[in-house]
Amino acid sequence: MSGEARESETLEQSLARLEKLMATLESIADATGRETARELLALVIDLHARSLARLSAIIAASDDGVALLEKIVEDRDLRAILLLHGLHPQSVEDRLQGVIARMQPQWSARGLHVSLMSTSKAFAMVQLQRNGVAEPTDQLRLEIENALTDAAPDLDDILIELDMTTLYAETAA
Amino acid sequence: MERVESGNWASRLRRFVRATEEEHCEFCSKTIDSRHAHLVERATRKFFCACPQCAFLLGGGERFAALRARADALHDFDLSDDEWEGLRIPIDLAFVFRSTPAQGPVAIYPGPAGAIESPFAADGWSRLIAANPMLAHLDPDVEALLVNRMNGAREYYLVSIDRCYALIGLIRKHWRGLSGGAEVWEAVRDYLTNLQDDVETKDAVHG
Repeated sequence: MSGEARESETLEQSLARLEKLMATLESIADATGRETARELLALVIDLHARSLARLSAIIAASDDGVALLEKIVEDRDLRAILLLHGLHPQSVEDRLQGVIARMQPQWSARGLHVSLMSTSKAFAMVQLQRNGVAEPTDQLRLEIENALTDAAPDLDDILIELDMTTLYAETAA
Repeated sequence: MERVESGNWASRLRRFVRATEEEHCEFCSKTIDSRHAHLVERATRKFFCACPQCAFLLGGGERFAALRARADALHDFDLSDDEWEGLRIPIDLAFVFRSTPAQGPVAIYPGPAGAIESPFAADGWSRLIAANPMLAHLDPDVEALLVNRMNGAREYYLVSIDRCYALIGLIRKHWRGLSGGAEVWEAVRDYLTNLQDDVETKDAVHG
């Protein structure tokens, strides 16, 4: 196992554990304990957000700051934390377009075409065209959603819309 | 690679920690501070969270009363044992407050079914007010007189109605059998100790 794989595994495992712990905390009947833990977590996150925002500002204002930030977000762990605090130097739209551009050759080879329709603070809408692809729609949706949410875990949801014209064409055929 | 169940972890974590802060006025839906006003619907005794504007506009009206957290000890309360007997409350712990829907004073005290509520004799209430004029200012539906004469105690408090409902809830939760059982009385003792602590803290703050 390479060092990089171990590193990525750690982030995934941490996030999986984070999900589990949030669910556990949510199910605690003792309201005082639950809300205290939540407040503590919020405070720690806010403290980090404040400092990281200043740190990012200092980096961005320095010579070669932009290049340095680009290098920083190449690191998965650092990228995750910057995304959490809304400090990723790229906008949601740029990040999603980046994933689509990177994946498009692979998707095109399978007869898929993905395009970004719109983005807002909480949602993004993506259109999927499938030219006679036989794979089940749900599976395709999941695959695309996974690829895109990795780049934008700060969105509430990514909606994947099927281009109906091709679907109609298929049904008619 | 192990996949996170849902990729929007950052969004969910943010919403998770903000869950406590996002409280809304139940009248206008505006986001409100975690320390906000409450209105009591007089007819149903339901509590509603309110923003300052809605609390100001609706509180003290026909339908709603504004709740002000209150716990004051009444030190020179005048109520003899004979007078208390005459009020025919079967237990030495009771709340009395003026109820708009009942159109008069109402007593609430612990009993086998949780809490028993009964109309309070109007002449008894008049005599109480005559002997203890501060009772005349009790805000209907939201302020109550708490009487504790258990085990020889002679304690009287002016409290906001939320404390009354808290005690009712506590009794409902812990009452066992006909006499309540040890657990319920222990819970009541804790409740009264807390009340005393709150009164003392407040007295200390106000000098």
